[in-house]
Amino acid sequence: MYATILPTDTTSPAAATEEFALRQIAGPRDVVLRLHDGAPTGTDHWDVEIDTPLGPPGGKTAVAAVVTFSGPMPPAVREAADRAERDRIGPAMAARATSTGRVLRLWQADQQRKVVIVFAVDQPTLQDGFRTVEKLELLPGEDLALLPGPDHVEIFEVTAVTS
Amino acid sequence: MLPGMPRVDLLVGRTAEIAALTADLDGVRGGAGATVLLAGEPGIGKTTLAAALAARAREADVPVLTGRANPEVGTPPLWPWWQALHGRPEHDVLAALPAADGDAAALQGHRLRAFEAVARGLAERPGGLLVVLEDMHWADEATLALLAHLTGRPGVLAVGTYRSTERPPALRRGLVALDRAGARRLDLAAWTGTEVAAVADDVHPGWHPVLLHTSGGVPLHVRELAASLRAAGIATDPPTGPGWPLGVPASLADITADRLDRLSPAARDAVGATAIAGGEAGCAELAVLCGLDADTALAALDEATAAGLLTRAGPAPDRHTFPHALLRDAVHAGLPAARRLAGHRAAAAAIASGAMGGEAVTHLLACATDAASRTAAVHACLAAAAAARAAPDRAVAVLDAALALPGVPVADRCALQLAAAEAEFAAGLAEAALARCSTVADLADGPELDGPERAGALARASLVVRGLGGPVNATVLDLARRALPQLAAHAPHDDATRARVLAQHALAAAEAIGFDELGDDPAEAFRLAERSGDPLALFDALRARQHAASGPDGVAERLDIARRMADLPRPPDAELWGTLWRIDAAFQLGRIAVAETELARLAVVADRLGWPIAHWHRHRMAAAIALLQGRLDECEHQADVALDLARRTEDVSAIAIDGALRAELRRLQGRSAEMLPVFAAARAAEALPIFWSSVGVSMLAVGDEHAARSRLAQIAPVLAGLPRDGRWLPTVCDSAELAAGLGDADVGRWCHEALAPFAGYFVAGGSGSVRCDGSVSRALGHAADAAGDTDTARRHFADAVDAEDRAGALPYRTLSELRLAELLLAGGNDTTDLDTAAAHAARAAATARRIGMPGALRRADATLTAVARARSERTGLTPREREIAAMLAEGRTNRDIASRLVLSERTVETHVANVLGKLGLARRAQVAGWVAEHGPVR
Repeated sequence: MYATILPTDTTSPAAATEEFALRQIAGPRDVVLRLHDGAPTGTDHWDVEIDTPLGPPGGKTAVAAVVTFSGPMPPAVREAADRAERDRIGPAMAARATSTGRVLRLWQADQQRKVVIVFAVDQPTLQDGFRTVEKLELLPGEDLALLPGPDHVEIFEVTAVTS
Repeated sequence: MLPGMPRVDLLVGRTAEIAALTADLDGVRGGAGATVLLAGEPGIGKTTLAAALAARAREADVPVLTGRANPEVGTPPLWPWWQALHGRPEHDVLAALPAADGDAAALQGHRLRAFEAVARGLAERPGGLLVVLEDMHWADEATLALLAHLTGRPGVLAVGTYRSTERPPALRRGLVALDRAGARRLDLAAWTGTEVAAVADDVHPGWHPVLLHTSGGVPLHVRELAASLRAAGIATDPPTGPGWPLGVPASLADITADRLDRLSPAARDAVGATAIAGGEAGCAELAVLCGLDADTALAALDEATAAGLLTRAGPAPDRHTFPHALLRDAVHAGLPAARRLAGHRAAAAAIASGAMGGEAVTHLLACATDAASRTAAVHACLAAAAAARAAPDRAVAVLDAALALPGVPVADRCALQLAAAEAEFAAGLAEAALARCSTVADLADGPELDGPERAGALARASLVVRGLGGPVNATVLDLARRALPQLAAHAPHDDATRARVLAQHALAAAEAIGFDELGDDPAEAFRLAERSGDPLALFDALRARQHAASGPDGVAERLDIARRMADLPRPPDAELWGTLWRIDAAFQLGRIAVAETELARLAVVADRLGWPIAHWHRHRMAAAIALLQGRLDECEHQADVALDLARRTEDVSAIAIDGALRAELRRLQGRSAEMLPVFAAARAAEALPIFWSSVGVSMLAVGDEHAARSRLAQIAPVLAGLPRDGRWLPTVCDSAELAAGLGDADVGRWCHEALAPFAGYFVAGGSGSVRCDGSVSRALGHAADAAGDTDTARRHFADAVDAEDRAGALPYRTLSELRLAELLLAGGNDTTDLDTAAAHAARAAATARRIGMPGALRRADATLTAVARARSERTGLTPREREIAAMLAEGRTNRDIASRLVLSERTVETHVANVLGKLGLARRAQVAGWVAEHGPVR
């Protein structure tokens, strides 16, 4: 699966299986996140590495956090971050999720950059999730030197969903 | 000048004293009068100073009269004056004095009249007069009385010298009279290190502290000792041990024996016992060694102190010591052998029983005359050396003393040599330590040791010197190669030792032969070490594994290895290496905050260890971090401190590392030319591709394209075959910059492909990194630039700016921004590119100015000027509009412009509106400001 994140007024570069209109809450950005089965051409696109539902299904996700690792991301850092998401953060969030959520991990190989998009039903739920992650202790073998954290985190309101 | 009086040019130091005496000389030439008494112990330089004054007087045409007292019993009264006044009328006045067997009062009257006649004869001569009387401690009462009588006479400067260590009754009374008459005393102090260094400037500087300590700063002794070194042919070599190696010069032995002869028997015994006790003694030592009760001991010590042979040591009233070590040695050497042996035996026994303080080792060594006493001495030395780990030079001295004993068995000799080698390595003396290890290996090959003993000695010898680069590794490799088969044959189940030697073998082979020689040894060593659970084995195995993972792909593994290393309970430097490796990794990850945290830990570790090599690492890493952050002055300071320490470690790679750091510092400072002599002298580094590429970049910086091209020609053919070790990343990154500077597209393309997977890293060595040169993305930008792919280059430079900004790597962000701005300017077809170029160039200029990068500042200013010019050229104004804009800038009105250009005012209004619109201005008054900022409208 592939993803594009483009300004709202940009035409979809390929057939989309899902489409999320996102409006930045504390900024001017309006974008559309689209998921595609085929690789879009002629525009920046991302590989969807992970698409994980959280919590009980059926709820409506109204907010999304876009967590950006600007890149180029060193291979060792990427591996450490992936391990942290897989072995520490993912299980902890899954265990604590009480409402509908979703995590998408996007990777752009040529730029060596990564975006993680976390959908939640509301902002307090999102903030609770972040606080949970911050409090997690490192697993044996994890090293803070390899976990510099994201370059920025933006919070969006999900204004429309098409699937 | 009297016979034996030293030459004036031998005067060293004494600046204040000669200035005071010269002032007195000037005074008497102007009619004043003064008497100055130069006091001090034998050899302190009284005569030299007096001779210097006499020379100055002669240069100023002031007559100089000289006399010297004689200690012989038959010397006539007033003998120094007879000498001084020889050939003058005053001499006859003294000669006419009646013999001493007449009436005392009459005699006193004659003497007074004669003294007055002499004083009148000498005084009030135009231009003044200098009288120098030497050795007044031997003078008779009349000589001193005449000197006192002359004191203060106009036009006479009288200078008397005497030993402060000798106070016979005549001198004591004479000094009272002289004080009363207004004579001034000048006590001469011992030399400091500065004077010692000046007088022994042909002697290796390593001897200077030894000379100072041994002589106590007494000039005569310093000169004698320096002469002994020259005569022994070792003056130009560094000392091989901490103490004085050549015994007591004969002149001092004679002086000391003479001074001892003047003491009472009890005081003489006390001085001898103090020498046996090691140089310091009190009532306890004198009771053990001389059988003196406390009162007699104190009286004897007082007498010896008054004679200047001993001095008070500390607050305890009975503690006494020698004024300097040479005097102690002279006294000790002068004792009869039987007395010395008996004294040391008694001292060793008393220390063992607690009756006396101190160390038994010295005494055991001094009385080791048979096999049993030698064995006791050897074991005591090994124990003392083990206890003196914090003072390795002391440990080595003790062990060398034991090695100097005759008839020590081979097993004991090996143990002593190995303990000394370990202490020397801890003191940073790697070469010396390695020489001892080779000696041990040769000893172990002999028939005296059995198989397990031989394997143990060889293994230990191969493990002493570790963690160093450079040629020492060839010897280490040889030692390990000799040890491994012996271990396999005689200690096959000793996993820990085999692991250690195997790891050492791998590391030494990698250094001495090449990275590819590491092979499977590190993995095997680690397997054995883990099986043994021995921390020392794990320590060595982790070192080998770290080296094997030193390439750019191994950063995560190195962090894990570093953590394990730092957690080892021993050896004491495990945490040092673990911390250093984490800094290496933090550099490659661009995590300066992590590196700073580890640096703080490194400081604590270095303080705890106290080893020069640990402090060297601490300061060189502080310099590297300061360089990366653009604190260039701090970098220089830390590098200076590190270099001082490096010189003490004897590790040639440590000196080379300083050169590598400073090459980059100077390049950032725009002072690469200063490094050219260093590069030329770095013969050992000439074998290293990392040196070729690094020097090539510096050659670009100094504008020597020919030299840079030679370096590129060296590196280009070997790039593809470089081992993926810790040097690979810096070598390839520098090669990319070199290729960009010289326009070599092939090298640029190769570097781009090779570096692309590492775009997110920073440029740093993976093992023993010297510095961190900013983001690999900048090197990728250079590589793409060299290959002619400008768009890709711009993207990489933009990535580098972001990464270096995040890391706080200011000098490198500045370089990346500069090149990005230049590329944007060169290819910029729209105002957005120009605006971006201007923003980067402006920030680069501000940063370069602040942190001291004049070359970068010049480039940034040139870019800003070019951007301004490009902007003005892209205004899109028609020729007529440019003409009108120029007039607007001059403040002309529409009517004036219309008149000058023969246009209607309405037409001019239209042109003005177009000009303002195209320049993005709101008011006509802003046109002048636009021109001031961007130059004439084109």
